[in-house]
Amino acid sequence: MEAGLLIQYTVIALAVVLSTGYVARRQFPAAVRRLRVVLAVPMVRDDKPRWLQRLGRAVAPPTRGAAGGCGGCNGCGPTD
Amino acid sequence: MSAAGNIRLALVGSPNCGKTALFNLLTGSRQKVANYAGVTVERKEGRFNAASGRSYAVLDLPGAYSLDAASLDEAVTRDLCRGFYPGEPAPDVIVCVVDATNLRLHLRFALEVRELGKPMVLAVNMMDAAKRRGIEVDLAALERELGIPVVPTVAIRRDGAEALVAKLDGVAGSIHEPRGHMSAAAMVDPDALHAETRRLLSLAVTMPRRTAEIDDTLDRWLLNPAIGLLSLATVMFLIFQAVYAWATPMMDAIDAGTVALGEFVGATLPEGPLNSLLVDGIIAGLGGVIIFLPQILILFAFIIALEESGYLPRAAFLLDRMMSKAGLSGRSFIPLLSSFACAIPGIMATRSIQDPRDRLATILVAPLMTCSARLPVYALLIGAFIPQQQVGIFNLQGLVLFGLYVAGILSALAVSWVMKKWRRDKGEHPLMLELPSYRIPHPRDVLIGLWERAWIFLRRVGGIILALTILLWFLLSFPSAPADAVAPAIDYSFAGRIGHAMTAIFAPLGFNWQICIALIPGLAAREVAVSSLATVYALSAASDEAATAALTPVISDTWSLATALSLLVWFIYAPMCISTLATIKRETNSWKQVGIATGYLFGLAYLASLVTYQVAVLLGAG
Repeated sequence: MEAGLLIQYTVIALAVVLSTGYVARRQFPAAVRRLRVVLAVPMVRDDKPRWLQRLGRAVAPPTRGAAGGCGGCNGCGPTD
Repeated sequence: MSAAGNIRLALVGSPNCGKTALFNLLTGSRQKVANYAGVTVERKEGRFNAASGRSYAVLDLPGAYSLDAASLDEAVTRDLCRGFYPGEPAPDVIVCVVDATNLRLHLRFALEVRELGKPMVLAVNMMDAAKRRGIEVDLAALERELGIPVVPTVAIRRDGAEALVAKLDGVAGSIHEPRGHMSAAAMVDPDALHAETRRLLSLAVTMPRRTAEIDDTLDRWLLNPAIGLLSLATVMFLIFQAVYAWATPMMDAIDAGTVALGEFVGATLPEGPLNSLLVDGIIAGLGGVIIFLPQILILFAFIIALEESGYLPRAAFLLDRMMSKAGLSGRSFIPLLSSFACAIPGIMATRSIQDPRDRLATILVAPLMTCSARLPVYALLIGAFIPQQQVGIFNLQGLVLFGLYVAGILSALAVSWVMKKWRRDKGEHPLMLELPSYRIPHPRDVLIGLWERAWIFLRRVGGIILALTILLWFLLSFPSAPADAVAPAIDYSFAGRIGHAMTAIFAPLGFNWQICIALIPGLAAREVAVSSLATVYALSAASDEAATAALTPVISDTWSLATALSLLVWFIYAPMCISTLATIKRETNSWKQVGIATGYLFGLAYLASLVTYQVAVLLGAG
């Protein structure tokens, strides 16, 4: 395969992967979160190499919780 | 103050008090529109710098009649004012906006806000309108009695917020928390609030009459059961005429721009898969969606202008009785009207329906309204199968198109009527509406509203629609045909194979495998089905019109009339738009409701198409 065509297929593969990820994240956020947890947990175990643990932490979803302070109630206000 | 040193203002007030106009005046185009975390209530934040150099961050809170929340909007306003809303800092100052011509209603809410004990300023808005009606408001007396700063504002005048900004600047950092005037028990007692409002009105307000003379005169005609409905029908007719007539030149320009861009990119890049992705996938796909922006903006310009003028609540009032018989309410009118442009803004517009039951019913029937994306499909099939002849003074093709629109409306009413029969709560929920004074819409507010709508639409195009277009192109293009292929390349693609497999289900409806393939990309947007059919029939087409022109003789030669009628009926009902289903999920936060909507729409589409095809075959049209 000539280099130009290889580059074209690489760009297309990247676009398809990014689009799939975007659609999944937008349309199925909970499923994506679960998937990230499932993927990350085996990678961050103590017996795994450090680079894999770092990768696992990157794959893991961000922790849930209130973003930023709620301005004075110190977390004691109602959440609903 | 916030960490950034901005003073955080929260604008609160009852609906129609001119709060958003004041927000637009203060912040201009420096606004950010999003949703509050976890809910579908719109969050609008803006910034402005005062002459003193102070920076203010302004939050335009949803309109509320009371802090005793009866809707999601009011709950957000209540929690935010109290500083309890997760992720939202408490405001430094609450600016409560009241309409000077409607203090009887709006002061009651201001009293509730004052009792929160937060630093607060009362902005008495529409002072010019009050003056014209001979209403005199003694601001000093109001300030003395309420114990908070009171300022006059005229949100539609360029200098109308000067007094407010000067007051905020003068007292920033030293605005005292108002002293509590009422006991906790009195705060939740509506009678005590009404009594206090009446006392304040008697002390600070003199008005010659409770309502404006012009409002009474106009309402006598526009709320008349016969003349009012006739006027409404005329307004709606004019809107539809404008949406289709005015948008055409702009749509043609976008279409020409898309074709020119496609040709330029196609000629610039070497032949290959990347060229195809950009030209046939992204440019053609996104161009096919952006083309509807003019129609959407024209429709929203009318909706915003009618809303600003105070007419829309009256239209909802007029239609309430008729719509409640079908299980909807007068408030469903606006969302269903919006759905003629696209079901997505229509479903989003249901946020204004406070009753969750009515809101859900409206969301579920909104996809039955004939959205503009169906028009290319209807135009293709009608042009190919319905003869161009006159029936009396009417054009037969035009009558069929009108019939398809009416079929959508009647189906929506029938479905909501059936839902009404099935639900446990059969009680009628009364329509409670405030009929605001008529006013001439301000161009600035209409333009800012349109800019917001356009931005939301374009963000969607650049986000989910772009991603889906790339995926659909991939499914239609890979795997490529083998070297010794005899059939068209699309036959060997993922989408082609799926299309062939689908004929097992759709053959009883008269659909061939080519139609089945076109149904797949049509899932992203219905109009894409036209270009897809052109591709399937190995015709190259750069635009929908070109595709239609080339397709018409092919399908009229190869399809039977029964198949065409069956496909027309399919498009009235089919849940063919993933974005609509995704919007239903987002608005209801329930997969169950998405399942119900998909199930009933698919069931109706299949049944109606099956009956249409089989009856047409029996009558010799097969």
